[in-house]
Amino acid sequence: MSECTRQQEIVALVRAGRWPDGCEDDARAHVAACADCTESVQIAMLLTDDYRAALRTARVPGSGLVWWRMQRRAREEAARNAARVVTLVQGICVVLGIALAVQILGAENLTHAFARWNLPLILGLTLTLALAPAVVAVYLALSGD
Amino acid sequence: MTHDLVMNDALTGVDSRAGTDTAHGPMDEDAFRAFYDRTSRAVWVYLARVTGDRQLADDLLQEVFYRFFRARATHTDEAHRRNSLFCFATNIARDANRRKVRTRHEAVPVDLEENAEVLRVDARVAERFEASTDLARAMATLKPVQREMLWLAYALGSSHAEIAEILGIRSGSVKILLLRARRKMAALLGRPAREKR
Repeated sequence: MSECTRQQEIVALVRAGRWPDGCEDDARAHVAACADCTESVQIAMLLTDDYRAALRTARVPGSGLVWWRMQRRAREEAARNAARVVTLVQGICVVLGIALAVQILGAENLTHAFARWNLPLILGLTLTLALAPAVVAVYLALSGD
Repeated sequence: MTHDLVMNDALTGVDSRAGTDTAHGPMDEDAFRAFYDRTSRAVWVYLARVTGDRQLADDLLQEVFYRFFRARATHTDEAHRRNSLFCFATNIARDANRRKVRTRHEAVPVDLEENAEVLRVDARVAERFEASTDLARAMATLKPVQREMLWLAYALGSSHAEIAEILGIRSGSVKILLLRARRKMAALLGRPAREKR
């Protein structure tokens, strides 16, 4: 199957509203002799007319309203994403806090706990607990959303 | 052709001058609103024709522009930007068509007696919205990709390369697929398709 090479030119004439009166005799003669172009003209006329009629009746919301809705939706999505990150960090903090409490309370006294258990690990856990919310806050403040 | 038509006649080149100064990086509010004013009606009509559902097109229009805007893509020119927008519209309409098919399978039977008035109103609305025309029936019978192709080629005047870009198919396949779609459409409209050469 192959199609006529002048088809796009003929369709462009229809779309420009130049068919049949505003075009050259040569184009009209070609369409009369070419079944491909005849079919294309018929379909192009139908679809172009339908498109123009639909454009006239189309009711779309104003650009200001669409922009405002988009901004609101973007903010809501950003808030949801932030809430997810915060919840995750909270979960990690709770787990670390429980681990820390178990280690400290399980020992006879605080000095013993530090001595018996791994001091760097306890300090690490404490620092993580203290800094995690700050890191999240900085991330959320600096992220594009 | 009215000013509105010209301003919304996306992909035609009629308004290719419009927006060329802003068609590069991500858009600010003014650029977005101007672009929306130029293209929204054409996108809405495309969605309505490809899904066959004007109400659905109302819902999808906002989604198309939202996803397009959130992508924050850079475009080489206004035509590239419009093609990208129609690419979003195509994908969103395809998703909606798939959801529609699933919903139809799960549809609850309607009590015709009880909903007679609603159905009468729906019928009037449908009539007003050209649902009963030959063209609408023929479009509804075509495969979604055929509807998309015919609309892009004949209503919006897109080139084969643009159609390939928007529909995500190989440029070389457009010609033959479009030819088949056109012949099927002609047959559905009562104009016998030409014999294969």
